[in-house]
Amino acid sequence: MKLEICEVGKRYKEGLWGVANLSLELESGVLGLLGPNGAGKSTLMRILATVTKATTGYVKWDGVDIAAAPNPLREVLGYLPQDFGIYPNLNAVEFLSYLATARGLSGRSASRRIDQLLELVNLTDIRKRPLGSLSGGMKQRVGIAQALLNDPKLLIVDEPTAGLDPEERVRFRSLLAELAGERIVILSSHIVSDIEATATSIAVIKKGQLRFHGAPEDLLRRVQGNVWEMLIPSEDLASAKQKFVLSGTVRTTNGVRIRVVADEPPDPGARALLPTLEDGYLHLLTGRQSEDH
Amino acid sequence: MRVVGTLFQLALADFRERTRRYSFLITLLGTLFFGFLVITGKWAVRMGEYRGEYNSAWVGSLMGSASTVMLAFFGFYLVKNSLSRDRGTRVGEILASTPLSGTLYVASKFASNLAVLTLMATTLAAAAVVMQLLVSPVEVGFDLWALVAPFVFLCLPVITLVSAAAVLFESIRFLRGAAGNVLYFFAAEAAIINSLLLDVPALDFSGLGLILPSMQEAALAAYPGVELPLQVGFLWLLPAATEEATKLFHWSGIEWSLAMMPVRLMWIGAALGMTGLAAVFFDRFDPARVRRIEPAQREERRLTAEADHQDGDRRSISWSDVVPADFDFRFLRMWRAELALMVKGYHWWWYLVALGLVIVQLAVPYAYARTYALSIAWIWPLAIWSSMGTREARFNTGQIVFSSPYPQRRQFPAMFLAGLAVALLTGSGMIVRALLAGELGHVAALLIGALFVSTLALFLGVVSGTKKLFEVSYLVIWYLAVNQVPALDFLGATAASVVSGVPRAYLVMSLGLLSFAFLLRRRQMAGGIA
Repeated sequence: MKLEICEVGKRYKEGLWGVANLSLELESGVLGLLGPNGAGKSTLMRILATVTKATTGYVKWDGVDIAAAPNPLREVLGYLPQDFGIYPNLNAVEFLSYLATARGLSGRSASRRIDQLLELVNLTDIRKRPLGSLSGGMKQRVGIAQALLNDPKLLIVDEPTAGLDPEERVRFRSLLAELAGERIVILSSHIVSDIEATATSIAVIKKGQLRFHGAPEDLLRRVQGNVWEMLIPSEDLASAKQKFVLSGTVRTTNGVRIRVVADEPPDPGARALLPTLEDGYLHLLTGRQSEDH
Repeated sequence: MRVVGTLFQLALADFRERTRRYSFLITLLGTLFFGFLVITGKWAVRMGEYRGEYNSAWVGSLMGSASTVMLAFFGFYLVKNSLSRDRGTRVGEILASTPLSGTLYVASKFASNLAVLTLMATTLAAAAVVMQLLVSPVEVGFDLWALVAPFVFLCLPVITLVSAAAVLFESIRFLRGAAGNVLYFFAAEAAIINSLLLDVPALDFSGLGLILPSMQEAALAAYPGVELPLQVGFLWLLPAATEEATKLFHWSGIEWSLAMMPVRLMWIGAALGMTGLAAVFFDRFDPARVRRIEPAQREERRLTAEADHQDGDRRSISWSDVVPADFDFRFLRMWRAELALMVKGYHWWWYLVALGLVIVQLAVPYAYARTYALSIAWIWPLAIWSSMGTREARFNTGQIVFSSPYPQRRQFPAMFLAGLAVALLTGSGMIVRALLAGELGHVAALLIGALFVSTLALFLGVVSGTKKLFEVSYLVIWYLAVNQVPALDFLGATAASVVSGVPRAYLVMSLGLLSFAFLLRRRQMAGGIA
């Protein structure tokens, strides 16, 4: 089980490159794909899900080029797009049955798995209600269930926690942790805490290019000694935001306690802190030490 | 002034959004093509073998009347998407949260519709000028007002009314979909026929009654005592009218005067009234303001909302408990799933009427079943067929469906066969009758007809991604077939068309459409627009 992404690029009609010259090699585990809005995460996901063809480079699944032969990958693919629709007149069971049929599951297996998956995503109670009447979070959970229908070997989930309430978000993270093992999971998000909780490796994309790929610890190590905390008066916050890269602010009775990502101490009184992934991510995005990976 | 400024800005933004789409360019090219058909005589106004000489008055009236009829029918379908676009993109919800009044919003959509249709009418007016320069002898002279006046007096009130009707139909829930499209088609047809047949100027919405009798009078003056059957439209489709009109007469047009204005202004006033009515029905994109909710539905919604707010994890299983996936693809199951998806969501009475229509096909005399009962049975599932090939785009399920294995080999043929099954089932009464009567030619024609409907739906659905293109195209073909235009008799409504080999042509066309739809869908998936 191996996913090989080699110098993949995608150029859109307007001449813009959504993804450029991106290479990665993945084996089982959870890859957290991080990047700001418009970085090219969804484009890459669509290429990997065989929905979009790359303009340059290739992607191979177990040595087979997915552009030339997409079906071997599709047979083991679970895909939750960032923006997906449902058929409003169908209920959850009918919708999942339809997709299970399209994916070639046997009737008996589909029926049992659908019941269990609905339970897994906490939707058993509304299994017979039209999807059109469900809330955004419920629809998202139906989306998660459909991605797991065929017990995928490659699971691609694009912003899966969007629309989920905090409780469901935690449940989804634990589900992802359960899923990791004998499969490749690619989890795209711009919410670092989602990635922090589940990813065994991290890739950061900015402007279509890979800026970092490695273990979470590697990202932390890169920013080690570059995170500071200091107290400033409230009225100085606006100017501090312009001057420094802030990864957090906490209001106190004495002013605002700011968390600064910087190579040098921002102030003689600043205190060094242990970095988080959020700090490492911001450090990468602000451009410093961002060319190597 | 501020209201006018807001109205202008809203209408301008909507107009820009529409005209910057690739599809609008295609629409304009289609409009130019229609102008070309008029110039080349495919659309004509004549009285048997008699027609007026190509002076400014005749050319202007010919192009003006053709534009009026064309925009009365198709203009509606072209502009009836303004509110639905705001609904789909959710821009409507943003606008609804502003102080903008519903009346002003609806008025801006009306104004935008009118601007689009005016642009098309102007294009056709320019085509009239080109036509005269191309086909008129120099000695007849050039009179710009005679060329343009029919657009002002005939076309403008009609497109005003069409713009308002589009907004009204979009504002009323029941009229938004296929039912509204069908209803409008028959209403427009009745209004045009009314214009031609009734000699009541106040009811002449198209204004055709202003010019056509005058043309006939001129022809009668030039050729006294001859029979002058008035013919208007695509006459090349009618075998009896394929001969060129060779006998010319001079028609200097009519005196366009202010006296005509009150009736024409009355229709513009009616359009404004219709827009006001639309504002009354406009729901301001509030999903709560839907039709009456049944008690059962209300209870269902309450339970769903409750389930959404339940606290705590009530799962009793974990991922490791889920049974392994077992694969065994069966095409029959895929076909059944597609069929269920296709027919799901209709009221119980829809199925009852469909069943009733099958029984009618079996019960009435053969000739009536062939001509009328089957025709109605094959317009009834219009909304079902129009969903073919469009569902993934309309519901944004393309990424999920097309990333399944072998979508071209599994889902695509299953969808096509489900559409075909709907045609066969709804026409089954007639098919059984023909079989029992030993009319094998008719049986073959019916099977090919069913094939044609489903392939046309699939092809136009895949091409456009919207239901409307099929609904309008099929409605026109169906209407002409019911009126026994031999070349369009895909229903096998007349024995003559069956004998003359029309079904064979439709078989070839259907196979072509199916192949194109297949290739296009493959290209769409490979290109990544899914």
